[in-house]
Amino acid sequence: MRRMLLRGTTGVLISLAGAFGVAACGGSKSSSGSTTGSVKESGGPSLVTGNGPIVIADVQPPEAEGGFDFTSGMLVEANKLNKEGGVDGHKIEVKVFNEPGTPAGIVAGYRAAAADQSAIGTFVGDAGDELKPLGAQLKLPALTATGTYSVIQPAAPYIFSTTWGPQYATSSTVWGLKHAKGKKIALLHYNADFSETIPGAIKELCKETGKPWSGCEIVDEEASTAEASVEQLTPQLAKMKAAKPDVYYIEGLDPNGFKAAKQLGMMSEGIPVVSDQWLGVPAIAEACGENCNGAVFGGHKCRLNGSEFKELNQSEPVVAFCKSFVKEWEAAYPGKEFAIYSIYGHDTVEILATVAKELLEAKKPVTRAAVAESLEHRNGTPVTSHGAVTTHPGDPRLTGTWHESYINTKLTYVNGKIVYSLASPSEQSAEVSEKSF
Amino acid sequence: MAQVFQYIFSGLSSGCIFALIALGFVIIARVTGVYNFAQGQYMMVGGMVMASTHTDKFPIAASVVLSVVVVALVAVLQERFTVSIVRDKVGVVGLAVISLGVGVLLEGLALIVWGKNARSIPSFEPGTFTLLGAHLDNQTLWIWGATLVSLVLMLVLFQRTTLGKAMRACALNPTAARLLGIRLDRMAILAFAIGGGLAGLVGAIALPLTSVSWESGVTVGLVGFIAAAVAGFDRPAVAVAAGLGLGVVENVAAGEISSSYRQLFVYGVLLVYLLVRDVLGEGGFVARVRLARASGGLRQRRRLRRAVSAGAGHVALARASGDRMRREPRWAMLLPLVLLTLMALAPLVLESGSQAMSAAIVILLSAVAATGLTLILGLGRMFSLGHAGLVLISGYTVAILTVNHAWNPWVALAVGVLLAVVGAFIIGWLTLRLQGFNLAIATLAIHLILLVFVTQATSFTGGERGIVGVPALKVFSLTTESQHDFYWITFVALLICLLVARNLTKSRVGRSLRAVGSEQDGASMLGVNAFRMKLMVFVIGGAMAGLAGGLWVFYLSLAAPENWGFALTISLVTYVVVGGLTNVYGGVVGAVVVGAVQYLVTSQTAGLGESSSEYEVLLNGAFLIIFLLIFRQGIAVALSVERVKGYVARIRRGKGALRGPTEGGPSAGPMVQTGTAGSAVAGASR
Repeated sequence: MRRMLLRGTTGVLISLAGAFGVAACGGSKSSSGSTTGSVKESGGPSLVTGNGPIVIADVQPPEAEGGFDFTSGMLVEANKLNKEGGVDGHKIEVKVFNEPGTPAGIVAGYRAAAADQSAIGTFVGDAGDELKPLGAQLKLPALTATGTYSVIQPAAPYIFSTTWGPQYATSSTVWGLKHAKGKKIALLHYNADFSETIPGAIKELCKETGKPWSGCEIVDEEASTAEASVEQLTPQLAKMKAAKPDVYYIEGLDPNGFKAAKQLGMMSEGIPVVSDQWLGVPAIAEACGENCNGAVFGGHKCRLNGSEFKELNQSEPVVAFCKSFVKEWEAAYPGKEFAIYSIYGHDTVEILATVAKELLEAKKPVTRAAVAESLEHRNGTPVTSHGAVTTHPGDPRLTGTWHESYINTKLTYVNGKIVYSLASPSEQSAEVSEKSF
Repeated sequence: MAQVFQYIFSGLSSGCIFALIALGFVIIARVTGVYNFAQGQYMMVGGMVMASTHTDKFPIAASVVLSVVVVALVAVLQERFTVSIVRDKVGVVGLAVISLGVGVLLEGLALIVWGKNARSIPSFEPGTFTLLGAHLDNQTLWIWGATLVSLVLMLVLFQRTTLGKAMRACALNPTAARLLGIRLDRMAILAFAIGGGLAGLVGAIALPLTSVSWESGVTVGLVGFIAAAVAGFDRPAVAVAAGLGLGVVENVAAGEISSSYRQLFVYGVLLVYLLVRDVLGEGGFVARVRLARASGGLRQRRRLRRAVSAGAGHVALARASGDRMRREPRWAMLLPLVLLTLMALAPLVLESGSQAMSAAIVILLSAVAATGLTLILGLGRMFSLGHAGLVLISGYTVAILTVNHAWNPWVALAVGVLLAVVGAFIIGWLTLRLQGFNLAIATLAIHLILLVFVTQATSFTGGERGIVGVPALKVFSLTTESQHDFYWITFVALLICLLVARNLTKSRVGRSLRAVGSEQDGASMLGVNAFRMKLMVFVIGGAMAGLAGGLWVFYLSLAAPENWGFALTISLVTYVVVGGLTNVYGGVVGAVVVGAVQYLVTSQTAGLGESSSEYEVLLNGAFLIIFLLIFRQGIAVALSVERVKGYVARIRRGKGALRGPTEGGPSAGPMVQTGTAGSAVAGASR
C-alpha cells in the first residue's frame, strides 16, 4: 500500500501542484456571517439604477407540486405592475432559475440567484431548512412558501416566509374537535417537508390551556410515503380506526389515503375527517374525487368556488384581492383551473416591489441588506393575499393574521365536479392559535 | 384477528402488483438475458393509457386491452431500437443501464403527453366486500384474478408449448437454438412484448387502487426487480411468490410492528433470506466447508497458498490472464488527462455561485464516489448497488458530529471516512460471497435500510428535513464556504483517489483480481484468495465513497435522505458504465460527460417555462441511450488512443462504421459473459 501511494505519474503530481498553487493564489476568504436572526449589514451600491429593471429571482423545480404555479403568480403580478408603469418607472423582471426539487438543487438555485448581482430578492417556493445556513452567507433575501415551521423558527437572517405553518393543520383540527364527540385524534401524514410539521403542530395545539380544544390528544399517529397505494395505506388506516378516535386527520398529499379510509368505512362513520391545503390543489382533489367527499381543510379564501365565494364578507381586503387576482390569472392562463399556489408567487412580487418603491421614493439605495431590513419591519403594508403584512426580526412571516385569509373549507364531489364551500356556513373566520410557536 | 387478515389480504393486493412486474422481468431476462429496468415505467404507461381512455363512452375492457397493447408495442420498440442492436456487444450491466435510459425517456414522454399531475380512476365495480373480517375494494378481485391467470398462462407457455420451449432454448444456448432454426430475434421480440404487456395489464387494473404520475414507476419497478432477483430471474412461480411475499410482509409489518419502519422490515427480511440461503443453499458456505474438507483440508490449501502467493506462479498467472487494464501505455490515458486538465481550469472560467459552478462541483463529488465504484464494478467484478449507502454513512456521520456534538470538521471527516470503511468491510464480509444478482439485491437492501433509518429516526438524523448548519471545512486559506475553494479541495481529493485506484489496478491485488476474473479456480490453486482480494477492493472503494460523502455534506451544509437516495446509486452506476467499466478513469469520464450533458440540457430547456422539465427528462433519457449505443464499452475505452488509431486505420481501409472490440486493442470484453440469466450474473459475482 505504501508503494502504491508513493507511485504516481508526473502528470498527476503536476496537476496536484498546480491545483494547490492556483488555490493558494486564487482562494477567497470565508465570510462567516451572522447566525442570529436579524440583518445588521447595510450599504453598497443600489441594484436598481438608471432606467433598469427591478429584478426578482425565482428558484423553482417546474415539475414539483407548486412549481410553475408559484411562477405563474409572480408573472401575473409583474405584468400587472408593468402595465401600470412599473415601480417608480422601473419595470419588474422575474428571472427564473430552474432546479431539481431536491435539497442540493435548492442550494444550487439559491446560490445561482445570489450570484446574479441584479436580483434584489428571490422566491424559493419549495425551500426547506437547507436555506437557513445560506442566508447569512449569501445575503440574498429569500421568501419561501413551504409551510414547514422550522424554516422560520428560529428566524435566520435574510430568510422569510410568505405563508403560515402549523395553522394549516391546526385550523381544520380545531374545526373537527368542535364538531366531534370527544378530543381524541388519529393522524396519518406522509414524508414531505410540510408533513413533519403536522404532528408537532397538533401536539402543541393540545397543550394550550383555556381553549375548547385543550386536552386533546393524538391516540394514533401513522406515517407513510406519499406514493403509497390504497392497499399499502390500509394497515395504517385500519389502526387509526381501531384506535376509536373522535377526529380523523388524513394528510391530503396522497389521495389514496382517503380511498383507503372509504374502503374501511371511515368516511361514513359520522366522525369528522379533516385535512390540509393539499386538497386545494385541483389535480389532487380530482384524483381524490368522491373519496374526499366531506373532508374539511384550512383553505385560502381564493379557493372557494362561485356562489360559495359570495358567502364571504366582500368588503374584506383579501376577498377583494381574490376577486381581481383570480380573474387576472385566468385571463393569463385561459382554459386552466385557477392554481391556488400562485398566490404565494404573487405575494413575493408585491412585497418586494413595495419595498423597492419605498426605498426609491426615500432616495435610498435598493440593496439586498436594505430590502432585508425593510422586510423585518413591516407595519401592515402591503396587503397581500395573506393579509396586512406585519413582521419583526423574530417573526419573519410576511403575513397578516390567519383569519384575514383562511377559512375552513369543505370539499364536496357533486356530479363529477369538485366544489369548495364553507365548512360551516355561519363561520366567517377560522379559530386557530395564530402566533404560537 | 380480522385486523390481521386486513393486513394480509391488502398485502396480497400490493404483492400482486409487485408479482406481475417481477414476472415481466423474469420473462424478458429468461429469454434474452436482459435485465429490463424500464418495467416500472411500462406499468406507468399502462396506467396513463387507462386513465386517458377511461370515459363513459369507452368500455373498460377496451381500455384495459389498449393499455396492454400499447405497452407491448413500447416494449417491442425498445427491443428493436436498443437491445437488438447491441445485445452481443455490450455486457449485462450496459444493457441494464440502457433500459434505465429508456425508463427515463418514457418518463419524459409521459410528462409531455399527460403532464405532471397524478391521475386515478374509480374501481371497475364500485363497492367493497368482506373476507374473514377484512374490508376490501371490489377492484382487489380483478387484481388477484389477473395475477393468477397471468401466472398460469406463463407457466403453461413455458412448460407445455413448443413456443415457450423455444423461448427457453434461446436463453439456455443461443447457438444451439439458432442451429435448430429458432429465430432468436423473434423470440426476443415476443419476450419483450409479453413482459411489456404484463406491466401494461397491471398498470391498468391496479390504477383504481394506486394512482399514476410520470414518476410513479420507479418504486414499484424497484420492488419488482427485487422479487425477480430473488427468483434468480429464472423461475416465474418463485418471482410471483416473492412479489406476493414482499407485499404481505410490508403490510403486516406496517400493521403489527411499525408503519414508519415497515420498509425496513421488508428489506431486512429480504437480506436475512439471502444470507441464510447463501449459508445453507447449494454452493453456499456450509457446502463450501464440506467440499474443502473432502478435498484434502483447508490447512493444505493454506500452505499451498502461502508457498506461491509471492512466487513466480502468481506473476505467470497474471501474465496469462491477459489483463485489460495493465497494458495501456501512458499516452492511452490521453482522454482522462485532457478531462482532468479541463476540470482543473473550471474555476477559472466559471463564476462562483453560478449554476454551472454548482453543477461542476456535483460532478466532481460524483466522480470521487464513481472512482470507488469503478474499482468495485470493473476491477472487482462485484455488482454492488449499495455504493450510495456508504456515501450516506459518511455524510450523516460528519453532520451529526459537527452539528450535534461540535466536533472539529477535519476530525469528523476522518471519522466519517473511517465509518464508511468499517461499513464497507461489514457489508462486504456479509455479502461478497453471494451468488449472481443476490449481491446486487443485498447491497441495495442495505442502502434502502439505511435510508429508512435516516428518514424515520427523526431525533437522531432530523428525518426528512435532515441536519442543517454543518460548519465550513478549512484547508489553509481555503474554505468550503467558497465554491471555488471547495472545488479545489475536492479536485485534490479526486486526484488522490485516482492515484490510489490506478496504483491498485497495477498492484498485486489488481493482478490477482484480474486472474480471479479470468479463471477463478486456477487463481485459487495458485494461492489467490479471491474473497480477501475482493473485500480489499470493496473497502477501498468504500473509503472513496466515504470521502465523497463527507465532502458533499460540507458543500451543502446539510445532510438529508434525498441527497444520497436510490437515484444516486443509479447515477453512479450510469457514470461508470458510460465512462467505461474496464478503465480506471471510467467513473470520472462518465461523471463529467453525463453531468455536463445534463447541465447543458437543463440550461437550454430552462427558457421553456412549464415545459422545461418535460424536455429535460426526455433529453436526459435520450442522451443516455445514445451514449451507450455508440460507446458500447464506455467512452474512456472507445476514445483511447489505440482505439482511435484503429478506427482511423479502418476508415482508411474503407471499412467505415464504428464496431465493437476487435483484435489489436486491449481486451475490453463485457464484464459478464452472456448465457443463461442465472449463469450470466453468477459469473459477475463469483
